[in-house]
Amino acid sequence: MSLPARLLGANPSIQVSSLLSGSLSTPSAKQAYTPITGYYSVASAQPSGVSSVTFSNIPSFYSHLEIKIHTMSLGGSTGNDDVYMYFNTYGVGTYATTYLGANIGTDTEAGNIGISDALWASYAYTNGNPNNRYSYANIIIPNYSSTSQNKTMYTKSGTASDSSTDNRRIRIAGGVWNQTSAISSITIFMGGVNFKGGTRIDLYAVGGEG
Amino acid sequence: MPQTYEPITKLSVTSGGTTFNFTSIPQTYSDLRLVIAGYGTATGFGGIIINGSTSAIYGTQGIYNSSNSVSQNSYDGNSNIYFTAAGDFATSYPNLIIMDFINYTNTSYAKTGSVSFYGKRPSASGNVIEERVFCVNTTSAISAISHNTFTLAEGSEVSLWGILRA
Repeated sequence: MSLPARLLGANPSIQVSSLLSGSLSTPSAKQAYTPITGYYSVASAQPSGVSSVTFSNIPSFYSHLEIKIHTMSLGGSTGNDDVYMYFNTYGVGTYATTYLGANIGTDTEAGNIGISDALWASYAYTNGNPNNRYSYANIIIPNYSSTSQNKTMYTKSGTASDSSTDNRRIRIAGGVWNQTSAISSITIFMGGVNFKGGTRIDLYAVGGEG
Repeated sequence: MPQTYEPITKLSVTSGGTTFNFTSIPQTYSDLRLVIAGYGTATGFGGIIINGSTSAIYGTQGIYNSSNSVSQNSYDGNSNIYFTAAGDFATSYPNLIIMDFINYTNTSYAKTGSVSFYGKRPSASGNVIEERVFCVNTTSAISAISHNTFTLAEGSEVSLWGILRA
């Protein structure tokens, strides 16, 4: 579908407004608009033997953030540990995560994560799993630099294996942080256990000038 | 800061029955993304193999819409990465498959990644949406990604992208 020419004008930067009530003021000058122009690598960490990673001083000029996680924990069980994240300063604001998922042998599940000081971010295969597999997660944080909106995120994470002796899971989760502060740092952490070597956490950004 | 999401190769199918085999994949990226948009020439399983191997090195864990209810599937010891259940790779409606391969050049660990599949189910009423994670039990870097058990109809496109971390 293409937009009518009257909406496009001489500049492809498009503003479409819907006025339901009240008044709408027309800007006297064209607003600055930064189109989505690319996909950028912001930072990468390879934590080993530590329980957390913090990406700080995140530039604010991108449109949204993406985090890719390849992880294993040093937990000794044969299941999965959980990886969480919080924004900026710990203890500020309230977090909530809801999810849909599946575990081998127990079919599907849905619910809410029972903590409010962080978001659920990813599974981490434990070191006790017999076949040395790593977990996967891809996290999207849109509009992270907004100073007028609460923040939201999406994650898809799971653990798969070619071996029937390994635990396997998948979870799709969405979460919110009830703060309008721009996100300038992200801390990704495990509760009570550490990341195993081979873990990699990459921060990417989409849009902006790079 | 340089952009890090780059096209590696793309196949535009002009003749039905086409397969694909992307070889000599550059080892200069961190992650890969494979996007398949199109039709099959026959319904059936859809799968991807790595480095030409059909050995029992693949496993997936998925969750999907099955006749308007949520179900899960868990496979191990497969001969390819199944991105959808039997009969779901449709011929008369477009399918969309997005696969992410993370840390694909490492030579120390098994490979892991994600599959998102959307397709019109030809053998039952309703559409299919399916999310999976996968494992490939090889410590070899991924240098080839190929079709397995399906062929593409005219108009389909397959593209491979490279993502480079800082």
